[in-house]
Amino acid sequence: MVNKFNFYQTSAECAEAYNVTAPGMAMFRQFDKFQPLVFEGAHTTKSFLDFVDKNFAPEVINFKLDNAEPLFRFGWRSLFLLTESKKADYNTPFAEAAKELKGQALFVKSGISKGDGRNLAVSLKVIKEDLPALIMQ
Amino acid sequence: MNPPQYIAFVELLHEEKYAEKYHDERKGNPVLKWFTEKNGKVKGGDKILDLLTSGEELANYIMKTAGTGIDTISKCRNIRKRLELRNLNLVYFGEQSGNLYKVFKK
Repeated sequence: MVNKFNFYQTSAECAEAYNVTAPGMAMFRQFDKFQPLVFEGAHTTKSFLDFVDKNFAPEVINFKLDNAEPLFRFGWRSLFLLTESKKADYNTPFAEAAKELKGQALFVKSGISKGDGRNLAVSLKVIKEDLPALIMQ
Repeated sequence: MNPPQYIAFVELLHEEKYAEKYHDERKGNPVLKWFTEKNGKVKGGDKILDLLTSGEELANYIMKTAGTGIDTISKCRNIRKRLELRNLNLVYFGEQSGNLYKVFKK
């Protein structure tokens, strides 16, 4: 996943404004409006890569073709909730599981009747009559 | 880039010598391999990656692997503007030394 990132280095004096203690590091994600997510792990490659894997995506991903790449290319375990209802009861345990299993699997939500969801439905071979559908891959 | 980095396309069906030496059945094709020069000899095989699908991603990989993939932001006020260039960013705050910087650079 690290190839998806831009890497920057800046001076220690900039750290405080981003709640970082220098020397330190933070991740900035567009989906989080570039709020700093400070790395607090051990200074090892494994710890750093775990931090990247755990945090590069939101807990629940709203499916778009733009963010489909890690779902299909990097061999992540992904759980898809296909539904046309944003308020149905099953949305809550899905979000809770996403929080609980952050970094271990990607949790993706999508409808199938419009936008990129139509492509996803074709890819997963799901039709309207199957909804709501929970698919693991 | 200085020194220049080269990208080569090899069609393994027609280049049996390379296929024998570098093709890895387990990984399949296509793959990227990174070659480095040490003591006057060029050696490959340190890294075999999945194909990177966008030009930007490939450029990022080359910059990072060649050791020049970290951009320096000299003024704090420019940080936000730089972050907005990409969806995902990692920023190191501090001197270019120490364990954390080594991990970040790697």
